Amino acid sequence: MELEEGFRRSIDICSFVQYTVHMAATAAKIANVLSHLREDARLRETVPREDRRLSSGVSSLDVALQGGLPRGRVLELSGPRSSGRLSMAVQLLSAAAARGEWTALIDVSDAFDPRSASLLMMDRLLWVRPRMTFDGFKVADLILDAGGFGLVVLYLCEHPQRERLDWTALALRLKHRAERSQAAVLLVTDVPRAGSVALAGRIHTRSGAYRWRGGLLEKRESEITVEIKHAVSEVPLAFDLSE
Amino acid sequence: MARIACVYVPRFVRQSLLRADPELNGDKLIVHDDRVVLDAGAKLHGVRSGMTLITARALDPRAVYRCTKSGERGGGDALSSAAAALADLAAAFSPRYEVQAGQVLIDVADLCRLFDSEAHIASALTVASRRLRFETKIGIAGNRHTAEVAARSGREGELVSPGREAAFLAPLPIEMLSPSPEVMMLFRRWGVVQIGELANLPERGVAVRLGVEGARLAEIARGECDEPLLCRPQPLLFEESIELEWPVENAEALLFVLRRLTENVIERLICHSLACKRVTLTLGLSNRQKIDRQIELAAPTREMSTLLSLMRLKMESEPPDNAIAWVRLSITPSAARPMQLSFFAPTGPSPDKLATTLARLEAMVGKGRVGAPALVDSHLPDAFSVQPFAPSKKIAPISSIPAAVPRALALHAFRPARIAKVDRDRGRMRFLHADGISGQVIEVGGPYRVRESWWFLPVARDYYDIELSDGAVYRLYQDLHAKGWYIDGCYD
Repeated sequence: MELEEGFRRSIDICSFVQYTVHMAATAAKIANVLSHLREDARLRETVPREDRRLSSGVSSLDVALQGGLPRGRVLELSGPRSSGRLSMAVQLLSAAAARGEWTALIDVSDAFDPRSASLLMMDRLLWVRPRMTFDGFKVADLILDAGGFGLVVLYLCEHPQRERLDWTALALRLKHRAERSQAAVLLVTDVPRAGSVALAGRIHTRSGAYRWRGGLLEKRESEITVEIKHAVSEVPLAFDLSE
Repeated sequence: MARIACVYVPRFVRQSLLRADPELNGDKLIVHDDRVVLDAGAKLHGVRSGMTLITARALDPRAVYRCTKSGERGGGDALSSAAAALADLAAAFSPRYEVQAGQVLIDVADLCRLFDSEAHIASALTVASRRLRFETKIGIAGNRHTAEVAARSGREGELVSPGREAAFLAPLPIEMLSPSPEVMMLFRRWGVVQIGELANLPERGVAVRLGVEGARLAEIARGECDEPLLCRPQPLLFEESIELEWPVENAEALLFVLRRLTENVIERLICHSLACKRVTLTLGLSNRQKIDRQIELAAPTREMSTLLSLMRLKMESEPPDNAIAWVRLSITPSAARPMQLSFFAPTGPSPDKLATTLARLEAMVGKGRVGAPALVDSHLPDAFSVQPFAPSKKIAPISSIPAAVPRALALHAFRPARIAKVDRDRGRMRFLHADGISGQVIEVGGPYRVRESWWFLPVARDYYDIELSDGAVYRLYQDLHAKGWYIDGCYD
């Protein structure tokens, strides 16, 4: 009887030790996950959201933009055909989507080719295709009113301008909406249109050389001029077709 | 321990009609069936309930007459909508309820875990019924009959403590039990005036003299009747209708009416935590024709302004031929879009707001022009589809975010593709002309051939990338069947 009692007690002690070890391991795992979450939160929240800038995904461009696209501000991106305007806009949308931001592309020209975009970008992209430029601004109003979008791109290139628009007034309205929603707004046009009162800065694109390999287009180079707060910077960028 | 709440709507028919059309003058309203006045307003010249319709019309021809028969001036529809609204009210509190004419009985036994006391349950029921435009009286007791009597006894929220049913009923008049006229006559002969007097009579003697009904009434009077609720699931039918005093022709006047109907339906949807997925407007025209207008929403929503603006757009795009005499609004419900927000990811718009915005955007720019771009299983370079916008909730940890995003050359697509003219010299392309594009060919890449859907609608194209003297690179293709040249985009 005593032997049996001792045996039972030893089994109890063993299972208690096993349970304690298991609990300690679980607690260590939980502590590890929590520390990761804390670190993640610290990295994301060290700067308030409205002060943080949206990175363009290109370090040299981020330097020229003084940290990235400013939230709650309107920037104008303009340039001639084939100068890299759309590639630049898609680049900024991809970079924002990669950081978990919701993005919107208001494509008045109906020109966006989904094959140009990364899968990650398409997952977080709201694509709206209004038919008129003025409707494009109304769509931007609605999207900015909804809030929560990190980057809103209004693409107006190559669209036949049949409407007479007060561009400065429209851009000012866009600026107020952007301030309220804390979204970065990018206005993409053929030529600079919005008055500088409404803009936080301008980006100009110029055509560069094309690279061909084996009879196929490989990449093209663009010259990007960034003009923010009277500081002008030149950034050469190459966009790769194989990507 | 059973606890039953009775939500009683006094003058239910009248309240139903006023709920459907709040513009009606309640003091001048006469509710009638085929022949007899059922309910008369306060400021009428001698018209009373029970009077024949002919007499009532002779006494006050200027009163507002509404018939309860279905199909006549919307009275029947208003009653069925009101009954459905009462069921929705009950469903918002408990799955166990029984709907009767002008009242609903709800099992509230387990609601004490959600509310502090039964008084709070009663006040919540009153608030909810006011939102549905009902003036109600609430009674809560241990059985359904006592709860009914408590609700009708006068006070707004009458609570009968457990075990005190008989004591509560005792001083009340015997008419509150709604006996049949024959039994009521016998009670008068016996001198039974109060319910307590009936409860004190010998059980066996009452059963012998008054039969089944008498025995049942005596059991109710003693507070011992415990008939269960007959819970029947009600169909989720969200319909509201109104017949207009005068036919309307302009959209503004109709929207004014639709606003009221929409408000009623939205309150009912809230009871079930549902949202509107599709709106069907049935319009009865003055030439006795009936037309339907369907509005599909991009995402379920309960926002009034969105629904009204969509209805306005629909009515303006497809106006009816004749003046509108009556309107029925039917809603197809759907679950509101659920979303769990992340702790660390940037927050998007709230699901409700996003749904509303998407619906508004689609109303503004057209169907299929709002959403998330998606690739389709095709070899054609310009093949794509637009899917409903529903961003993934998964967020990559900050450590996995790439420092640099690959820079891809994007194509500015021309939709539709522009017809081009290609000048060739000894097999080589020399010049290219198209609408808004002209230049000497500097460099040519390709061709790369694409063949697609040979089994259905054969497409065969040779694609080229062409650099022109204007400094741009275009994507050009030759349709091998039609032998035509097209530019479908420019690398930008």
